Amino acid sequence: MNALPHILSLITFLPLVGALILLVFRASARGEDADVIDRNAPSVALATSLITFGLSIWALMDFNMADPGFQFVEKASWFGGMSYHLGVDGISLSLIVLTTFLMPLCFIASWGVVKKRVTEYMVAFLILETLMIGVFASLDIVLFYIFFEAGLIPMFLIIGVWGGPDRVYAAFKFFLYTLLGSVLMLIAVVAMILTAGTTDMTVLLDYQFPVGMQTWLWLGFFASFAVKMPMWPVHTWLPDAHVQAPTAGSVILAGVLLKMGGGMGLSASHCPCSPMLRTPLRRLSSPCR
Amino acid sequence: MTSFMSNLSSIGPEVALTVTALLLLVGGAMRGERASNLISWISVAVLVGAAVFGLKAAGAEPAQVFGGALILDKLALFAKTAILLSAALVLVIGAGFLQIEKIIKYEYAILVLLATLGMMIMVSANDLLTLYVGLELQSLSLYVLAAFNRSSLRASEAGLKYFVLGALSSGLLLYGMSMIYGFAGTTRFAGIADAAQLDASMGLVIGIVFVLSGLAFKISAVPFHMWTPDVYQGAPTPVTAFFASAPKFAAIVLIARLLLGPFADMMAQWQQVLVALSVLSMTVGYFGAIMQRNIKRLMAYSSIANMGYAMIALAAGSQRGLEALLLYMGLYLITTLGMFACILAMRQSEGMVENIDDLAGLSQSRPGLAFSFSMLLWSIAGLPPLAGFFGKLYIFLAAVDGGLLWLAIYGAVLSVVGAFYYLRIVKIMWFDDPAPSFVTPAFVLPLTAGVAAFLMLPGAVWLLPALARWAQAASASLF
Repeated sequence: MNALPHILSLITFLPLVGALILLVFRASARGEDADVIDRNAPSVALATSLITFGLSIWALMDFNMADPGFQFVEKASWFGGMSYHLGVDGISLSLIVLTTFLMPLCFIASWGVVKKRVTEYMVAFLILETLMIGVFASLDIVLFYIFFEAGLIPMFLIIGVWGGPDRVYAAFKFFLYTLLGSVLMLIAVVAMILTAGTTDMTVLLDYQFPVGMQTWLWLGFFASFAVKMPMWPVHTWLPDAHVQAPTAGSVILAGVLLKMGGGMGLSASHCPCSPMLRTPLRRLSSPCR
Repeated sequence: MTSFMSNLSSIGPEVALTVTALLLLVGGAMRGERASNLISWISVAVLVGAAVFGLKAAGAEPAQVFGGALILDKLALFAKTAILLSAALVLVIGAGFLQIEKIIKYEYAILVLLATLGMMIMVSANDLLTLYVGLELQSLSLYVLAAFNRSSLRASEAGLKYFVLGALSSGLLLYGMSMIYGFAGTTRFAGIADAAQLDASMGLVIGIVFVLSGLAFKISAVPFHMWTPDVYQGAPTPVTAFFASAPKFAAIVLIARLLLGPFADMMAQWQQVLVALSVLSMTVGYFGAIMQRNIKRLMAYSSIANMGYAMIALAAGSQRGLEALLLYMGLYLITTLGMFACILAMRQSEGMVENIDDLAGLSQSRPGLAFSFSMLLWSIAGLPPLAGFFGKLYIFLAAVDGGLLWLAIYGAVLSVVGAFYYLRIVKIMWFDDPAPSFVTPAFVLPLTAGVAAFLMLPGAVWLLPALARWAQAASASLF
């Protein structure tokens, strides 16, 4: 197959485009038109997610399995040393395909089940899809953090607006637990940026941080991923969130959000070829090599 | 005489503001209340004109004027632009409120002009006396503005409380300044810098602590914050919006100029004070807000907490710190004004409402407003991808770089508490059943909120690099 330029950006932001289209139509509709939009929103969302899935399969076909490095790299510098830097390796591409595969299922699962504020529901899920794909595709550590943390906002709304009877409690618990873990990771990220002098993950991967510092960095990342996975004793938000979230929300929680912590965060660190307590980033986005 | 004239021409925007304020005062006295609207719009035009044209012409290159009493550099330029534009915006978004509440008087816009003039002098101060004159011009105007709604008991209380505590703080400030003068032998910043470099004597240390205490009142840093919630609540909402925006910016830039300029060599001494102020402000600001029912009181605690954050950047005492401070405060101004536009839109048919619960179900009755408000709340809570996150990121970078790792961690953890109460407003707007709907607000309020929200997310792609570049250029003028 021919390589599609900017395919990663396309996969990442296509759901967002779908969300924006829905949002614009919904915001400008009045009265009966709003009902029409609400009726058709699931189809639009499903179509968007299916196209995204197709694109990710295209990327998978195009992926050079023999190359252990990052592929489909896109880079544009922004400000303060940060850049819009995307790229995937084997692990992250498989997680992207997992995400894009689960999203159509979520929309099918919600078909006819969600009765109130249907369009907003679809918009929240599409935005969430963009953010989840972005987590796996970003190669700039600040960009990674942005996608990682921004996912809290739509998830908070999904649990809080469309959840079960105890949804507000569950939404807050989910949000605050995860945020507390993430801000500690942010401090670790900040320390890494300052020490290495770059936000580029491909450079950070090979940067030799002082051994004592690595422990602290690892703890910072661990705080976030342990909550996200979730591990005992910071797991108590998950039962609440799972019970209260709408079904599709639970699918995403279990299927993708927890993998951000587990798959991306920690499991790779126990690869035999990855020395213990090397930079946490090794575990974030590199395959075993 | 020529040098006086050339000095005068280099502070063109300040002169323009002064002349306009005086002319409008005469015009108002002659025409009475009928002219209030016209005066208000003329003031807006002058403020915006001064920001767009005047400053560009005046502040092309750094210069000291009036024998070194005032300094015109990029930092002053940055601060003045922000101050002028936010003052203009406050006048614009407040106009409808004052008219409906029938408390519009022509003095209102003139007082805002004079306060703005005071702030412009503050951020340009290069001498303790200039500093004091600018600060007092600003404060006196603000005292009157706080009590502007004379018939309201709360507003009078707010004005009185602000005045008494403000006078106390000015006393502290003057006392500290006299100590500094006594030990440095000069009021010029350059001379003080020499004295501080030569010998960081006890007198200077005491002086700087008093000066910092006085200035901490102005930015409502804990433990000098007592007036803030009452004044924010009691003052008419447009005035509260003004309090929360430009004066905070001016005061913190003034502190930065003082500490990083003449007292740069005494960082070891003032850093501890700032760290203490910062920790206390964040603690009180974030925890104090949790129990608030009134949105204006909540904004008061929110601004206390935000000032605590800003002081983290200042305590780092580096150029990176100043850059972070300016970026953070720039974003804070935009967010705060947008949020106050939302608060000003909280009007039911019986009148203004100020309780958070009145926002219930806003996402269904006014989705656009609720959307903008939520974006602004998420931004000020520091959640990515909104612009407020980058303000926090810059501050953390500066703090960790400056060896204040624990302060950064403390701030980061407390921001979770902050997220809780900002999120509570989001929850009320999105999860709860609708309360009685608001009447259709004046066109400008949702517009302001919408533009501010736009700047926080998609617009941030352009806003942030521009703001960061500008902040970097401005911060370079002190290093």
